[in-house]
Amino acid sequence: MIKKIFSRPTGVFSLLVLATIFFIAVFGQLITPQGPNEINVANMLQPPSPEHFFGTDELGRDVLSRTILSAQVSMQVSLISVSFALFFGTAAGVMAGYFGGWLDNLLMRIVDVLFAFPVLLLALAIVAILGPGIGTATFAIGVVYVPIFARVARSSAVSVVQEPYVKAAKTVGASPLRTITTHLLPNIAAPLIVQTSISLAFAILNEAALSFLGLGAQPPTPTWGRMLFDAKGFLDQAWWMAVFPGATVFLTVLAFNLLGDNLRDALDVTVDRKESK
Amino acid sequence: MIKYVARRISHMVVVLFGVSIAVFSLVHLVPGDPIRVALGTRFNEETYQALLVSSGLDRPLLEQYVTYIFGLLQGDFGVSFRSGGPVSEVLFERLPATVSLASFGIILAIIIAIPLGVIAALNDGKAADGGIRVFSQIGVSLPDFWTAMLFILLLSATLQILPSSGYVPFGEDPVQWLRHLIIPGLTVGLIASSIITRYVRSSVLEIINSDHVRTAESKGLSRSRVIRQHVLRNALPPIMTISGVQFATMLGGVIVVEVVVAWPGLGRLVFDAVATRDYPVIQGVVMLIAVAFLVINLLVDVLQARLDPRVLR
Repeated sequence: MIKKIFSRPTGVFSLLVLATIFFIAVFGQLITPQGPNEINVANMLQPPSPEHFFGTDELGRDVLSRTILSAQVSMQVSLISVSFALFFGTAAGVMAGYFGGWLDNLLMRIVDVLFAFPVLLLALAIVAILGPGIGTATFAIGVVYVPIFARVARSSAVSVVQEPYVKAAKTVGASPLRTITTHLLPNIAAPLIVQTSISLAFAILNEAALSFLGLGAQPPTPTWGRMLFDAKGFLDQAWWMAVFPGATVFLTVLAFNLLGDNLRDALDVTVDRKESK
Repeated sequence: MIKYVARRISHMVVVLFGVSIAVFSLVHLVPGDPIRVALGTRFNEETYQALLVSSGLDRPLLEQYVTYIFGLLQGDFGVSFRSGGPVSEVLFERLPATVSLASFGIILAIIIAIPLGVIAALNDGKAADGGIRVFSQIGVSLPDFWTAMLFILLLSATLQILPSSGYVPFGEDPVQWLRHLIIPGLTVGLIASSIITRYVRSSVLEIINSDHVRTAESKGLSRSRVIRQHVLRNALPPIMTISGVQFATMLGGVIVVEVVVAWPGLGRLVFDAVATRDYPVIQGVVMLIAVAFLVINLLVDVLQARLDPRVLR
């Protein structure tokens, strides 16, 4: 699979971008040229220069340093929220597909209800209940992606349950937990892997959107969304404040999307992405 | 057909029931007393008691839910914690701005997506197809609020040909209405077009490889006639579905774009309501969007079944 991804330019591009983003997310503190919250009013709204590659913001803070450190928050929120959605969504979908009957009906109606709300609106409503913050944003994004994973897991589980090896496992008396973990899950992993990559892309977009609205991580923690919100008031004076953080979000999302496409081709699965954004 | 529509409506009613419970629960899931939280520093006993009675939160839960549902059926979305006025008034005041933005966006998206999707499908595997797929991938990955900012940077700050923000009602000045609509409309339209293009491409690709298209071509019909009469017509149902879904998504999904360009629509309203903890307004917007989403999906499904009877099987 990895070989197949590396054989395509878009695969190589996505892996390179993601490796860079993960690197700066982990080692951000060690590589930032300046402190992300170092205020220097005398140096405010400076265009890109050898001292400040991405320029400075309205408080004279280094835009490059803040962009690098924002990767940490974005990656943390998207990885935790998608892991949450993957775990609970897969659990619900597998149970619905394996047991069928009333449980399937109940779980899928709940999924239908959650699908009736646009993703960002639902996340916003959850943040409205629990109050803004990095933890709430993570939870909200996780919850809105649960139904997507539930649907993907269920549709795969329904067909795998009909396979002779699953029927055989049931016949010899394997417990539902054993059948699910040993026979079902490994055989529905491919579409879930692809969905994870696509969901990570949209989780980053939603984290940026929530931060932009002031509902994600709170200042002084730098986030891409908040940087873009601050840039909104200085578009005619300091284009660099908007262009660089926005381009970083775009490249990260693009890389996850391209990885998702390459994984889909490598694993030969179909995933509907219209419900993700 | 009637059986299919009845089945879809009954499914929608079940989902609507679940949606109503979810939205109703919103105010009850707030840790602590929602009215106290909403009033914050403006708290005084008199206002608190007045809101408690007008919102019905002093009554038993079941009674509250029944009153809520009957209210919704009569267009009553409750009372704003902030203004004390009816939520329905502010909802319907903001609705036209969001509908005009979403309508402009979806029309633009379809105008872009259909030719691009057809060109990509007709050139499957060639350079044009690759270029269009790159466009689509870029569009899907663009943060909408950043795209709006880039358009402001280009069309407003640099070229100074369009206003950067604000809204003028159509009835007041149609030209200014359109000038203010272009930046947010271009943003949502461009992003939606990248999603719809993929569906047009795959739908057209499936049809051009079918027997009836080969027959039409072998009869000697011109390429453009085959595409218009045989390919596009048959490719239309899935394109309609995704366009309907995109339109419904835009109604509730343009929150951040509305904030960027100070567009006084439902997105801006819900953003302000979250900031002021005005829970009945949040409930109203969420409920209205969810109902619109379900109704649009139902209409699209019915229309699709009408165009393609295979759906009924």
